[in-house]
Amino acid sequence: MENIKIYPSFTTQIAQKVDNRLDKNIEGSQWQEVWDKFKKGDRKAFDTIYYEHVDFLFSYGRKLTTNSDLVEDAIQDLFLYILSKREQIITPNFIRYYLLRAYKRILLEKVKREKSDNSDLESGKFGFNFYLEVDALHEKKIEEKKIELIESLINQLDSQKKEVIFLKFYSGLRYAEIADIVGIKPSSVKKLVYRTISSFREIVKDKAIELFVLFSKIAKN
Amino acid sequence: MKGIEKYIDNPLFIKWVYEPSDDISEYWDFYFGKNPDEKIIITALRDELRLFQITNHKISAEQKKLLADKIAKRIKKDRKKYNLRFLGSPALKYAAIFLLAICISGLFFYQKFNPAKDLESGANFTTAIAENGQISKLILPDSTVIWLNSGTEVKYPTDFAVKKREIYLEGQAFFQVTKNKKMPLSVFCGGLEVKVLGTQFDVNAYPGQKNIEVVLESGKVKLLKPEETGFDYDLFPGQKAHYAISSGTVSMRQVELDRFLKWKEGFLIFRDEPMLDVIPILQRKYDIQIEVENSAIFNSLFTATIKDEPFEDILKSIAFTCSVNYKIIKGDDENKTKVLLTPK
Repeated sequence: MENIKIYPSFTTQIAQKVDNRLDKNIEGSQWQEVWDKFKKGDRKAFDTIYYEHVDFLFSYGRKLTTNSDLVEDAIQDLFLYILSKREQIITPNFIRYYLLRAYKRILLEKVKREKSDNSDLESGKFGFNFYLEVDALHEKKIEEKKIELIESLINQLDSQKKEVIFLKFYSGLRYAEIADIVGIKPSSVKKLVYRTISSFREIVKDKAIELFVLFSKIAKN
Repeated sequence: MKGIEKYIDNPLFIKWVYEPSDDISEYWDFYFGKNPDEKIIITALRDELRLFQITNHKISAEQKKLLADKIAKRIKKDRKKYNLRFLGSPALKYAAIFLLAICISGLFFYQKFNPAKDLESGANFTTAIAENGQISKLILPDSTVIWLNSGTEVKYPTDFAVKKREIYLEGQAFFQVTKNKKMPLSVFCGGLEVKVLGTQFDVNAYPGQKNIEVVLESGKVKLLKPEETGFDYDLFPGQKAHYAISSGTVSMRQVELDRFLKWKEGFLIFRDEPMLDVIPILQRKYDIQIEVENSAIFNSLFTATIKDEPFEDILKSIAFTCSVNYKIIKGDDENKTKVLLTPK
């Protein structure tokens, strides 16, 4: 008999779900129980949800402001806000999306308030800047020239577009949800993701160094 | 971009590229098992996209912990302020035992009472075994009733219920525990302790499985780990706890009880279950050996409710839904009957 590999039933579950429809919520249904317990004030359930999302929330927050204290304050306010709305006992069917919507609003309020205190901070088109950098740690695996190209690919994107790319790669959100968070059309999100990824692949594959023309196009659209 | 959109659109693919975890990797192994011809393009795309990394600011582990404690403290304070009374669900308050009138047809009893000395503790134990092909019912000195599924062994000290109630389990069993507030009952299996007062629940802990599953019908049970004080989970009626042995994590969800408890009455219920999970269950139930020629068969999903059907009828149904052919090699005194599944 061949060596049997037992898949955890959760994995099998998502495998079946996702095969039917690829663009689906990646959170498993077991989160509902945790969420309900958290709403009732259970510390363990809070820890479970907190540790599942805190890295993402922190990383996203640090792209809206460089002030880590502000980011941590916003994370705290987010959890208190959710618990204060205790009449809402419906479990969100996508927790990260639900958290991110409230979190962005809370954090932006803080950023705005801080800006009016320190007017020397530069402000972006929508009242905030979304900072996106290519990870320097990865430069060793890929030639310097290509890194520069990737950096300029990123730098020519405006704040909203950077946010889209970040959310696509690190949040697990689907196009419609990203569109809602960023405030643009789902079709534009999809188009932007496809274009950025194909430009990136062209760079990596050495196909065309003169891609600057293409980047400028993306930036304009 | 042609052809790769479906991967780019799939959040599970992106997660695999940028935030790989055991669960996600296992999903893709599963996917490649089903779609072997896509493996090369998908892994190439993953490696390519991994070159495109964005700086992710990280919060330190200590800072993370500090912030968690700060928030938890604030939550507690806020709750006091609004004088919120946090009460458990009403279902918790009763741990009533109702006797089920269960009609078990074709049930075989087999109990082996061998009060053997336990080498480590010197205590005497009684062992009860349900061999493959059998379901057994066992009544303990305190009138607790245990149903043992095929290929299951339970062991309990001969002085059971004198000072404490402890049971050791290998396999799957349903417990209808006599209520005794002063003396909780504990079931030990694979490093896990299921602690109860009086209740009805199922524990699935066959050796070799990666997971232990506990399903609660009524009452209240606790999942504990004797060697880990922080490990403490409450299970509510209608819920199933899934304990992953390797990672030590527990997840719980509401389940359709019949699916997990009907085996006592001789039923086997499968709902879109991969053949990988179905095969060991059939092997135990019918005391046979099932071999597959091509591992892709493990991924086929099987749905059926079975009771007392001859084995060949089930094979016919598997052959139809999973599009396989089967061949039965009759066993003798020394060898089990063997079934070979081959792709159509």
